Amino acid sequence: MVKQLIAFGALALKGGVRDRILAAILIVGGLLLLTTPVVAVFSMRQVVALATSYSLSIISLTGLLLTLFLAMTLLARDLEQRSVYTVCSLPISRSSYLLGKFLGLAILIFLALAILGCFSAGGLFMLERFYPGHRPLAWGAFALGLWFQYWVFLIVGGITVLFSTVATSHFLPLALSVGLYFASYSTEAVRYFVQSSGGQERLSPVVRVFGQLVYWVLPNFSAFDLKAQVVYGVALDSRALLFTQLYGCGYLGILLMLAMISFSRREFL
Amino acid sequence: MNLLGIKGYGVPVRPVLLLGIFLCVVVGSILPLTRIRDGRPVEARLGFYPPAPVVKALSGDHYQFLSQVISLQCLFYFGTLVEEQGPKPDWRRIYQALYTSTRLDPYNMDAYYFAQAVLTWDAGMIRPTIELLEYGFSYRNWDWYLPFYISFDYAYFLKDYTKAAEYLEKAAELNRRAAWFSTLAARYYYEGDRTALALAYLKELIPTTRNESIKKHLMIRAEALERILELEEAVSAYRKRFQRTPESIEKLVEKGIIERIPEDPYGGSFYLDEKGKVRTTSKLAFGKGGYGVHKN
Repeated sequence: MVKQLIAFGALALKGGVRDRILAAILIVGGLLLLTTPVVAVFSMRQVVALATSYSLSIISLTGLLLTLFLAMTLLARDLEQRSVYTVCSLPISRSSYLLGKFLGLAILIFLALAILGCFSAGGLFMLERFYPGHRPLAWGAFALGLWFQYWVFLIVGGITVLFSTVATSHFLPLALSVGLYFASYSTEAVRYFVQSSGGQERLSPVVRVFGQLVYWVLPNFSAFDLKAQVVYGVALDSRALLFTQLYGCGYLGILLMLAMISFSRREFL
Repeated sequence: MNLLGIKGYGVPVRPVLLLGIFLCVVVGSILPLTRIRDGRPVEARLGFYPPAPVVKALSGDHYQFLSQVISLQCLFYFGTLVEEQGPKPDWRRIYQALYTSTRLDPYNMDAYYFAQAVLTWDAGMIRPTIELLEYGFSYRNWDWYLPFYISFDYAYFLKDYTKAAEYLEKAAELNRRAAWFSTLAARYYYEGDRTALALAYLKELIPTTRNESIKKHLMIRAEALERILELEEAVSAYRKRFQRTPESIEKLVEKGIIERIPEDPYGGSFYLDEKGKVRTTSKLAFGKGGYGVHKN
């Protein structure tokens, strides 16, 4: 099983590295990062803070595009090229195939984020020499911020792969994943609102229950967001980080298990 | 080759020719379009922002960068008016934009700094600015600038010296420079010398200002205040010497207390009101209907 996982992972990794679109997205991300000093000098009081949030935004956008593209084509390409039929005829489980491919995707996203992260860190390091901020940039928080951003992408990738196992078109998993990605950054705010006195007064009980349900069902990406800690040096809460990591592992696990169940039941014509 | 490669059209048109036509259309339209866009009121450049929760929900994890974009847009809008000596800015919209910006990212110092630099002096929006700064201080609790600004606003604009001292103490706890300023400020509070207080505050603010528009704006104000202070000191000297208040500002020159009446950098003329306080016809703002509504 492990050998099969590694083999499929390596296959997905090779396919991804060879893919020109992947390289193109990375290059565009890198070029955008080069514009960081140009944007940052407009700040009145916080050049490095603006540069950091701009860099993180670019990394997040580039990473999201990469994840969506890779996750969307993870199964679709094999289905289109009919290579999945060959795989299904071999004495290997579909679960190993799916997990192996996802492993490849996870490594690719990690590599892309590491490259963009190092590139961005180099730029910020230089910028901090010229424009020292009120507080020095928290490099530990920067690395942790990227790590948790990586987990957001893994979950988005998991969602896309899950939808790909049931969908017959490319568009549906993509549209649903993008929608859920943005919604998942608001579930916490929605929950706070429905619990507030304003929410109790203005919203019907049904809407309030729905608001709570959305929070418990969708991933809470706000917990993975460490931008304030990275950009402004706000103290990190180690307990919150630990539980966020556990929550991320659990959520991704659920998504992959559901994807495996769905994929193993899928009928290929 | 026929039009788009389809047979049956009489006039042969090459793709290069079509490309040329489209280029002409773009060039021919972009110039008038730019003129139309430039002719819009400056307010249009500030844009419209939906309530912060809506913006936050739509921006995913880019809310922080978006917050900074909004505060920079306010700065560009204000900078354009300063450079072009344009009409009075739409203060309400600037405030709303800054409010949205701080709700998106409560740590965004650019937004607080800009609010303090223009919304108090120019727009007279003291209470809303203090509320904004207090909100910022509840997050940026390590930053001495925020209580320092709040303290100044309470002292200078609202004359609430108890509150001012309370915030100055908080600023002094966070930074030594603020401690030095608190001694100076305490003296001015005691003497009721608002001009000297404002000048000391501006001199503290100007060296740390990076943006040229704002810096220029603050420097002109500091220059005007320096001249007012000079005249106030001359009025005091006149009172000491003649045991009465001068009837007009010209008396100060006539009696040799000052050599000449200084020029108001805003283009107005200095005069003495019925209580002998130094005033200026410009009200510390440029031109008729020019930006800035502060009354000295």
